[in-house]
Amino acid sequence: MGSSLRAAGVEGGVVALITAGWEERESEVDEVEHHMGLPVRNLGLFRRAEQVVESDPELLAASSRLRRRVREHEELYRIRLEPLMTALRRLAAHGSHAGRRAPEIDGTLQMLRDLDDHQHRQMAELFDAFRAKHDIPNRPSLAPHRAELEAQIGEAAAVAIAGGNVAVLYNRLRLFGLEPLLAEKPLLAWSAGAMVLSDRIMLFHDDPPWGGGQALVYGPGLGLVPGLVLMPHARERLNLDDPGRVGFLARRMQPRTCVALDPGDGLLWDGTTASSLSGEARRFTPEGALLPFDGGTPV
Amino acid sequence: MSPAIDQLLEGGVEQSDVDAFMHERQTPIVEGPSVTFVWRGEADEVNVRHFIYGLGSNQAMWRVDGTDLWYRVVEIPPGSRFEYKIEVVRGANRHWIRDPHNPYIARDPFGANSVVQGAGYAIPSWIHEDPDARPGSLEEVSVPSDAMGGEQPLVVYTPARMRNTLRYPVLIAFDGLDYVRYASLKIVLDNLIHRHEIPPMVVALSPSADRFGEYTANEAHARYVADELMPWLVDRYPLRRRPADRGLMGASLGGVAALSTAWRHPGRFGRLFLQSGSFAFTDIGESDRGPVLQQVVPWMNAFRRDPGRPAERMFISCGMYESLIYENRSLAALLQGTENVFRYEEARDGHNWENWRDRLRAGLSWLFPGPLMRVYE
Repeated sequence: MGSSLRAAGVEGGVVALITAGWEERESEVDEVEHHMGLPVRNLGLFRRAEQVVESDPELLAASSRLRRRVREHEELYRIRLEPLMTALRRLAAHGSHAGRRAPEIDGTLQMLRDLDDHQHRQMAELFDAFRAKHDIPNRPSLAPHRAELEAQIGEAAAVAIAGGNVAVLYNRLRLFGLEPLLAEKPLLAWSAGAMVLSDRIMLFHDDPPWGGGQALVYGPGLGLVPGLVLMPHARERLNLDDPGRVGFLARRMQPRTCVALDPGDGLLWDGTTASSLSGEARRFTPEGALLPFDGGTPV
Repeated sequence: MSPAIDQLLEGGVEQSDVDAFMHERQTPIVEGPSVTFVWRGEADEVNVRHFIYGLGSNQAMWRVDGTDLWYRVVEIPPGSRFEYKIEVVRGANRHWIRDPHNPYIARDPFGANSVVQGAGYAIPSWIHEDPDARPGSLEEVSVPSDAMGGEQPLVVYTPARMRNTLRYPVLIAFDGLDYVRYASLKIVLDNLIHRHEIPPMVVALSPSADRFGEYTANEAHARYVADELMPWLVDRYPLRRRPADRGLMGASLGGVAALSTAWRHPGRFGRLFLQSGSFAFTDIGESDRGPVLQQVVPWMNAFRRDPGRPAERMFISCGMYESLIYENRSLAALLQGTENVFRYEEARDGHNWENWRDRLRAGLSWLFPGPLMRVYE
């Protein structure tokens, strides 16, 4: 972590730390602090959000409704997604000539991309409507926290965002309106923390207890690192030895680029381009290969 | 045959050969599909008493001439697990004992049996305590009930770090304390929650002092569960209100209690976990079941005439080596012709708590999927 910060030009000062994705374990930051090599200030977004909703019953009720709506949207999305993924698998395994299957596979992938875009829009509209209806940017119960966070981030040399529950993390970052503040700071983010920086958050696990383990659109990310679908813990969560799965995922995500990040792998984003910082970050190719991430400007 | 026994029997056997053969040996001897049961001692007759329905339950063991070694070889399909005892007959006395050289024991309310773990069977990793998993809590309470004529005992599992600002799914488990004692339910809940395979949830562990009366499709018991227990839980714990977040589970007669309660109160329980349900029926002939299951028959026949949609999702499991496989396959076939959403899973196991334990991950995670897809750390 310390070397990554130095690579981003951060040599000293305090690091503002966001561990809201860890939920109730948010304050257990000793290990992170040790690895950071710089003084750390935990911004306590999860705790703050708990305090806010305890003092603001209307927001508590609205947040519960939002979670229900998110779950419902995800259920509806899955109902449409599963037959398309089944179709893709069956087409890939069909005994007919590859040339005759190709247009059918292309068409199914286009339907998947359309469905993913639809889910992305639905979720973006849901989150935006929540913010507007409950006046999140100006809500009195949030205002003192926002002012404190603005000051703390302003004083920090960098902001570090840890992983955990990506939905909880995204929700807390947006609740306190941190996107513009984060955009102005060197950021060190890992696991779910890296995922929220993208313009689209994809959920993935190839071996859940049930189901085929198809990747799902959660919704929009903060958009600070657009064009990349960052896939942390890829080796643990994805069957990277299956070129068919890798290739289909790469094609489904187009024009975005899927990047597998495993422990030790890092990317450096300078605001316009990404380059490999450490380890062996790899990009998915449409042919099903995993090649070293060679940087460049994402689409 | 068993390669191990064949080798022993080659060229005559003496008592000293048997001593060497048995030295530090674990039994039964599993060699691919062959399972060799072994026992040593003086007896007139020795039998393997297993609990596989369809295979003669009394498998006589053979004595190796000139020794005190008895054995029996049985062929079983891969992935099998079943329970047994050894019956030692001396004169008019018949003693059922656990296999003294088998460390695998399964406990149930009636005692304990020895266990055969066939080739390909593995005890699931998620049934063992994980030091990283934060343990939930068990709270003993009692629930007032007019339907049951007085206070009903209950133990409630609440997940670690439960918060009043969140709402949780709830599952009512019939024979709930037996699930904890014999199927490691509390450990499984702690582990699956820790692995994010199920969400943090509240589980009401409902015992029964009279399961032959209460769990045999008893209308008063169903009323207690739907109209008294569930509202009591909602008042006391931060629970979600959608039927999809409310479930019933049970094994054997507990499965009957779960299905019949949901059927009598449609729209109240969105999730059902039915394990080896005692779904006795007579709509296509007589049932040779005993008097306890005869109590289930009228309700089950009514259900089969008009199953409706008792829940939004049902997970049904049954062991291939139990007699109830017939009733459970019939239920699955019946539901297949309806709009019900269900999964049906069979295991090469019998009517026992460890079979039900081994299906917990599949059932719970399908009925109540956790945030696994959302957590990256």
